[in-house]
Amino acid sequence: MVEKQVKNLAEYIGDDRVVSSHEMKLVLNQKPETIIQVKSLIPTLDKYIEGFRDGELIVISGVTKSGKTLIGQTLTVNFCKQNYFPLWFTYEVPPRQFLSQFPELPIIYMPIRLKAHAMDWIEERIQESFLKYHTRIVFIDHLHFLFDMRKSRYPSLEIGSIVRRLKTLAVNEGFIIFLLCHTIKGKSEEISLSYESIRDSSLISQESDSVFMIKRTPEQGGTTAKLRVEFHRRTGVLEKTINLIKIDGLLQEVTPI
Amino acid sequence: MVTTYDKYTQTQISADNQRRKYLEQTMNGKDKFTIAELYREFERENLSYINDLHREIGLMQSLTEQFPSDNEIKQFTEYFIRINLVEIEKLTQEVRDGRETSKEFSRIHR
Repeated sequence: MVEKQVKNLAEYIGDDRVVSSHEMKLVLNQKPETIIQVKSLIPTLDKYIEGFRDGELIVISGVTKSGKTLIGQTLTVNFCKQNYFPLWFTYEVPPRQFLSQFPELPIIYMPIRLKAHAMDWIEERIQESFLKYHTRIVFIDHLHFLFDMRKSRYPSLEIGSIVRRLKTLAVNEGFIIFLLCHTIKGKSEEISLSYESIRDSSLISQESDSVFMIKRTPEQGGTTAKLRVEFHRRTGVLEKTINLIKIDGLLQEVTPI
Repeated sequence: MVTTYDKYTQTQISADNQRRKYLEQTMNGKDKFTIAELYREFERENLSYINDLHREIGLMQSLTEQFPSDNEIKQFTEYFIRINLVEIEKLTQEVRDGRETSKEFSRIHR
């Protein structure tokens, strides 16, 4: 029995067979390097991260009311300008309010009804939207709606497995997934603008390609915020901050005079 | 690509047939429609068409992805997407206007 299994493996020619680096390189050469590359249209951010590419899982975090959804909406509008129309799961903000927050209604896709704590359902909707409308960009607002905190004995582990699942989905199917999540509780000014303050953080940042932290900066004006790229795996960028200002309902980079 | 397009066209034809069947069923035995019913039907038609236009946009995007270095295809798909977006905007406005008109008629009738 064992002998037969060994012989079978020695002859194995499946899609997931082990090959040499040379063969792997030839396989990769036949595929495009990226399926999509889309810019944030926030100039300094694009300079740091060279746009977003398929297969990436981007985490956006910050304390409550810090502008997580707003930066998501800003990116959405900017993606639409490049003819990429995202799929949104807006658990935190009710759909009516969410849509009314856009200065002009963009083309986005969203499920008519949301189901919380249902990762299988999310995956199915992402696939549905892709098959119907070819959506490659997905926003999930926010992570803690994806699993049931009350039923979970080890929330950090469960979150880790959800984030890993999303990352695998992004890589296998060529999606860009933006995952919004909260930071640990505390006063805004007490929480540093670092990925270590993300709630149940360690596995989230380990599995993601980049973490953006956002924080309002009322001391610099009522409508200003700081976006910090904590890290970005592809470009190697670390701890870069971009100043943003809310104009006409969306965020823009503050251009130095 | 051709298969995808054929499949898509097939879906459209079958949706059209379903709509026709539905219309025949609803008209059966009826010689009068209320304005509200009529507008509901317009709305259904428009929403279905809007959905088709969205799917076409998706199809255009998949074309761009398949031929990333072909500028002609890129320009064509961008143009097509723009046209569809304008059409979607127009039809959405028609749905909104239709709802208003229908409401207005119902108010007058009461």
